[in-house]
Amino acid sequence: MIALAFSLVGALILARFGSPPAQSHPWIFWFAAFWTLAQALLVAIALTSFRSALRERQGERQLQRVARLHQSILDSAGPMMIACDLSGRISLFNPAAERMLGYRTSEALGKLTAADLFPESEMARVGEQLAASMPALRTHPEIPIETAPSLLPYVRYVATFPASRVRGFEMRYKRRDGSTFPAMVYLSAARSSAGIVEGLVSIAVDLSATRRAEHALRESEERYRDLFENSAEMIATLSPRGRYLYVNPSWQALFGMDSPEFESLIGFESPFPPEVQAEAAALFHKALHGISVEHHPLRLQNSSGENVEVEASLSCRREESGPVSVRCIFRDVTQQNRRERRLRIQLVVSQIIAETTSIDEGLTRVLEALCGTFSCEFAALWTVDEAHHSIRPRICWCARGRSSEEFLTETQAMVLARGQGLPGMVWSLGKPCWISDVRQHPAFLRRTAARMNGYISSWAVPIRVGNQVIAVVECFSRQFMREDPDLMATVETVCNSVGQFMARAGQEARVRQLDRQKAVILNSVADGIIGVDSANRIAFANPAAARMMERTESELIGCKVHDLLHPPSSGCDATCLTRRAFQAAEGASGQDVYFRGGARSFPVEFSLMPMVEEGEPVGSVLSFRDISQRYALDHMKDEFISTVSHELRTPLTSIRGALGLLSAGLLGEVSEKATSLLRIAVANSDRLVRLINDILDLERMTSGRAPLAFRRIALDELVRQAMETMQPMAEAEDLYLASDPTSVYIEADSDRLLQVMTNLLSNAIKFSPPRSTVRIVIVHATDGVTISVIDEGRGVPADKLETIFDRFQQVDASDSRQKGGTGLGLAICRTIVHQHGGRIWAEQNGSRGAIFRFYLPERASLSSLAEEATQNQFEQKFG
Amino acid sequence: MSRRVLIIDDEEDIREVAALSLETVAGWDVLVAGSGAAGILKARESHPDAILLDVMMPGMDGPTTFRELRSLPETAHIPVILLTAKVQAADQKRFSDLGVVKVMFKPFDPLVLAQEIAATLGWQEI
Repeated sequence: MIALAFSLVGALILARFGSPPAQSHPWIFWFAAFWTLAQALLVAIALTSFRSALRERQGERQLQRVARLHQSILDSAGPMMIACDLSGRISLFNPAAERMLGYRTSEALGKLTAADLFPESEMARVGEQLAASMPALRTHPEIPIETAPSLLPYVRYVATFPASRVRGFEMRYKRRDGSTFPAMVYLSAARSSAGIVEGLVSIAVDLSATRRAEHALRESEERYRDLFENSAEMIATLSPRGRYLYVNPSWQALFGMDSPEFESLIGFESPFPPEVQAEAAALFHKALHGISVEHHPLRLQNSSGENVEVEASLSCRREESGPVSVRCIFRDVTQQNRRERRLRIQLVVSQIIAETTSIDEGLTRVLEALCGTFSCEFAALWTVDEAHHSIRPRICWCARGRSSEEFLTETQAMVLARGQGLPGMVWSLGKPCWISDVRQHPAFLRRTAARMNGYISSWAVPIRVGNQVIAVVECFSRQFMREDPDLMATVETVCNSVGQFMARAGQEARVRQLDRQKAVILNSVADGIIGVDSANRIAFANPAAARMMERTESELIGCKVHDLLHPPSSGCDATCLTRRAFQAAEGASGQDVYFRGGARSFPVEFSLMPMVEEGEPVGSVLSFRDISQRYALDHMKDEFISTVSHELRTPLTSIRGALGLLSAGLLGEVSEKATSLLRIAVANSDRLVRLINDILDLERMTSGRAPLAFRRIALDELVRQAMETMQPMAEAEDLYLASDPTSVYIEADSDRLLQVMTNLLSNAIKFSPPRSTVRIVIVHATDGVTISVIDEGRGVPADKLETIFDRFQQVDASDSRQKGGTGLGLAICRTIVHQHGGRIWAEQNGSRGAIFRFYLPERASLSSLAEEATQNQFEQKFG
Repeated sequence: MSRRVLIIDDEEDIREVAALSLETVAGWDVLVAGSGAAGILKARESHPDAILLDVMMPGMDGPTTFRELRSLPETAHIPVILLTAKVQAADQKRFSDLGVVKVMFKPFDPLVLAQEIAATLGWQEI
């Protein structure tokens, strides 16, 4: 069996030598290369068999036969077979080695060392490669101490791996003449019978032919070179073993390496980032096995560290003998993908925002869309609580599948301060943050939970309204993701829309709440409220308004407001105050008569408020109240007061008459004391009458039932009248009345105004010393007049200047008794002046005396006119 | 020539005071009646120069009495002065609309009552 195998090996070796060097066809090169490898393996098998033969058969004859066989194998083998001891001295050098290296066996044995057969530093270089490929074993195999340092990695290599796992590696050999050539080296250990490594045995095959074949392949690629050189796509051609044969400039630019650097790499996946190397290697093997790869997405970093997304297409060129080359084309789809993602996420988010009515539902869907687009599995939206200086999670979303329970629970329970944790950091910085590995990041607080649920990378982006951060979105991925500024820029854009959505939703919620409140108010108030547009058509009416007008709310909408309140049958004309108020779009208030059901009138108290937007009147709001009942009550009250007044006056008339006649002495002589007492009685009955009159006056004026009769009047004439009225009183007190004639016209009720002036003059006269002067001064301003009554009397203390206008508030409590006043005069004055839209006040006249001033506007206001008009209407309709 | 004045008032005290006032101050001849009906009867009998008429009276009130006096040929020409304790604006307006020569208010000053009546009616004697 063994002899047969060996003769077969010999035949095959002969056949190898007999074959001409193949050059023209790649398959021939491949055949040659394969054949050489097969030979080397067969030789190794033969040697192993030989050793076992030695062990099995101890017979001398047999030993000799085996030695002869051994020698003939060494002599006839195609690959170089070289052995050396642990110091590196050559101990075996076969004819093939002689041929390839140019040394004779006699020159090599015992004279050359292994280092002489390689170019400088080649042993060290390959030694490092081998060292790197060895696993870090817990127990290192025993290495004899005499081993030369340069051989150490090689000895360790063969000692570590069993023969079956020893792989070939490439080394350059140096010929005697100094030229070099590449070879594939298979290394094994020469061991003693005790299994101790005693030396190294190498079998090497010249790879020059293989290299030439690859070169030829490269040259054939040159044909496409022009096409490839200028291509934006990244193109590489690799040998089936994964060696780079050609890379175009785009490919070089992608990885930041030049052609020679690629040629020195040992595998397709070598230039890729560690996290995609396995994926790249898998693609290469798929292509090599005839399954073409088309548009497979890959994520890499270019030489500048930027993220690049490519679509990889790999195909294998094959000939009968098998695969010849693998062509790999990468298309850079980074920009396209970014654009698409940006557009898609923006579209999705804008749809969500447009469709959703509930803010939380909308935000949840936004988080889901963000995760879906950017390969994340968990997202949370945190909202800033400015009032409590904290940020807390509002919504969390997790993808289905692997549990995120711990991470979710921990996230939901968190409340962070500004600058604390990832959301707090983004809030405080106001810009996005990226954490490639949350498990390692010291500032990331949820490290443990993230580790439990497998989260690795995270990014967070602020949501702003204006310059203010109102929320933060954070997303987590179970993949390692390098920082991607473009992704964050896209998410920031999306977050702007989300910010507007949140702001708008917040406002809408407030508006809805206000609307509800408004509706409740409008529906529950007893007052009728009608809103009209700028054309004075009714835009809304509350139920109370509809009830009072005896129409439905919908019937009222669109009606001309004045025609509704004052139908043509009401006979209202151009002087109608309601009409004037609506047309002038002025604020007005007062009383009026409206008509319900188009015919029946009812008294109302109304208030009209114009609505102005940006300086333009856009309508007005009318509120009104049916005061029929109140009016009926007022009427009863009037009756009552009238009756009481009558009943008080009737006995007073007899008393006053009787006392008057008696005190005048017309009915006979009365003693002096009796006369004096009668005078007191007369004065007090007069005072009682005045008191009754004043109380009635004040009551009627303050209840709004003493309408003013506005007329254009000459003020100086009125002053003259007042002075004339008071002249007898002044003369009785030995005082002078004076005024400076100023001709001024104002709109006022002359009787009432006269009452004010006589009241003030009467006060001044009462409190002035004899032979002093009381003056009336009129000062005309642009829009009104100020009338002052100035005396030289005892004056008003500073603390009483305000209160003397209140009822029964005199400077001295005894004044009413001594001076015959009622304590109501100034209160009446104030009421009348207020009814004219003016004001009244008191001042000190230097060191001596008082000044009472009142200001009256030149024109009475619309509201006081309206009140007057309503009163007149009532007097006619209900009086 | 002494004037004759009829006072119609349901209040006896007022009748007495007013009559005393006009008699003593002006020396007029004063007739009195306690109700509207009695007043009309007395006016038709004695043709006074003027009538002082109260407003609030039981039975026939002042305005009714006035209209009655106006409707009778023998009293229609007699000037009537209302003397009332009703002083509210609405009342005053109603009274002056009746067509009386003047509305005077209670309480009155007995010393100037006659003077005011004479001034109103254009009597020169006082």
